[in-house]
Amino acid sequence: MAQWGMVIDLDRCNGCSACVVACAAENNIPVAGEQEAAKGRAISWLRIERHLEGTWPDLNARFIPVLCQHCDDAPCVPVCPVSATYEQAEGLNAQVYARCIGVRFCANACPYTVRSFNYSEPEWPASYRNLLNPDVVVRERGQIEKCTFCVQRIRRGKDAARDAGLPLRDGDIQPACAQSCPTQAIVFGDRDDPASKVSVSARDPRAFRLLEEYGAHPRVTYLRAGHRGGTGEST
Amino acid sequence: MTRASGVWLSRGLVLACLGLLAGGVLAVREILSGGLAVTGLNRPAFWGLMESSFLFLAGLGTSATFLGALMRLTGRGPLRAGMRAAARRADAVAVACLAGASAGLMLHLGRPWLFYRVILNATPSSPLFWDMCFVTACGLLSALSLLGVGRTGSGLLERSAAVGAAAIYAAAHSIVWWRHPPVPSLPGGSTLFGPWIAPGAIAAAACAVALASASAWKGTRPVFLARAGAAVAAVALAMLFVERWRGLSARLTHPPMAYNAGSYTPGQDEWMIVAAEAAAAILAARALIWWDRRRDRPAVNGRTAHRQETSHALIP
Repeated sequence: MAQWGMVIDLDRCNGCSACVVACAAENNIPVAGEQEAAKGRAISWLRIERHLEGTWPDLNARFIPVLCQHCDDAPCVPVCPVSATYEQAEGLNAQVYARCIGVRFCANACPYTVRSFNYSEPEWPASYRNLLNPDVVVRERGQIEKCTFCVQRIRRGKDAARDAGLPLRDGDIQPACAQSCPTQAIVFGDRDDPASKVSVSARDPRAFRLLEEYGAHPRVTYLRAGHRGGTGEST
Repeated sequence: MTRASGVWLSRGLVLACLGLLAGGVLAVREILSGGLAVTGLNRPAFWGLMESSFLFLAGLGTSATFLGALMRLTGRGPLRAGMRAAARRADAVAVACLAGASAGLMLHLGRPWLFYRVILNATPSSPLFWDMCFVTACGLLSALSLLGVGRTGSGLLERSAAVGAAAIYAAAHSIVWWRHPPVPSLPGGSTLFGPWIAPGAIAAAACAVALASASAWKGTRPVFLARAGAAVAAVALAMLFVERWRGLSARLTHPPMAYNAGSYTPGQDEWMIVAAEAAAAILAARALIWWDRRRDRPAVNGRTAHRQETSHALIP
């Protein structure tokens, strides 16, 4: 059984937000609008954090894509009173939307603040409605949602491999963010396969994890930017 | 104040409370139809006025249950009658406050109509599960005590219920508080609060019981009231000191959180619901005390009274 994980090379990320747009399109993320966004109610499964270093004109911007880290000891799991969020056998931190009653304890417990609450009924511009992904359920008002590592693509990839009678190969399954990244900064795959890209990348000396001090053991590994000597191209 | 003006004042108070209740019902309807967005709740400030009122009313109600249990267990000799009367008032306050707390607990959910799933999909690791258990257990014990379960015979059942209430209260503010925090990386700090909150909550509950028993104040010596007020003030000051010390120690021992609390302005609906909860608690407590005193009346026309032992002189 695969153990899914992700590696994000911050040296390659240029903050273009293609991953954010692809994620929203793939996962039917509703459009909040300007007013709701100003109230902090915009829903985003993946955000690009921008950190500025130095002062003008010697200014350097660094970008960190932050999504659900699918922690091995996820703080959001034990606090849910209805078991709407749980850890799958393949390591995904799953969310059962139909079961969610909107307590928001999980969003409060998550140190990465990657869970979003639906304050209103989901809305899209009229021209978008026919473009919704039929593989992904539309969440309703009062539910919490978050990144699933594109679980629908994982399932589709496994089904396709089974139908073809072939084993699942590294790279067969790509979440929308990894597929859309123009610099290939996001790598997704099986952490248990030592030859997979994600395992090789995770062994890079630049590797680190976000907020490790909280002990959640996240499954997303980041490669530090601006450090020479790694396997990636550094500045 | 003459008796006639007192009656009109009382009727006016009841009418005002009923008006607040009607407004609260309309506000509940608006929240159910519009969701939590209408309350002004913004990300990442996930907790609103309803959750705060839940914590306040639950603390008050469960402490009143505990206080009632203590009075039932310790009332002996000449104090027995007075203690039991005070315990019944404490139970009335507890039932009223816990009913309001339950409303706050359910209405702060994104999908309150699915609250039953907290029972169906019971997850003991969640603080909300324990919130529900704690409020339900204390509410039931107080309601049963008020109804007079175990009053006949040896009183074993009544004492057992009181011991159970005391044990539940102690466990909730110690083991449950430590084991089931809403932020697992920061043990301690459950929604049920730690042991230091208990003295303050009990003092607040004692004040609530005293207020609910205002009619029993006749003949109370002013010096007793002054001493009681001083005791409450001392508890409040001690709580303030402990809270300040905790805040300081938390800053030194825990790493700063990854995010800051966002802004939050309670909406009109939330204010209306909290006002309605308070009105409902006042009305319910008064109604329960009235009903309880009515049961104490001596036998008339051959009907047997339920109790003859009660005295309203609960305070020396």
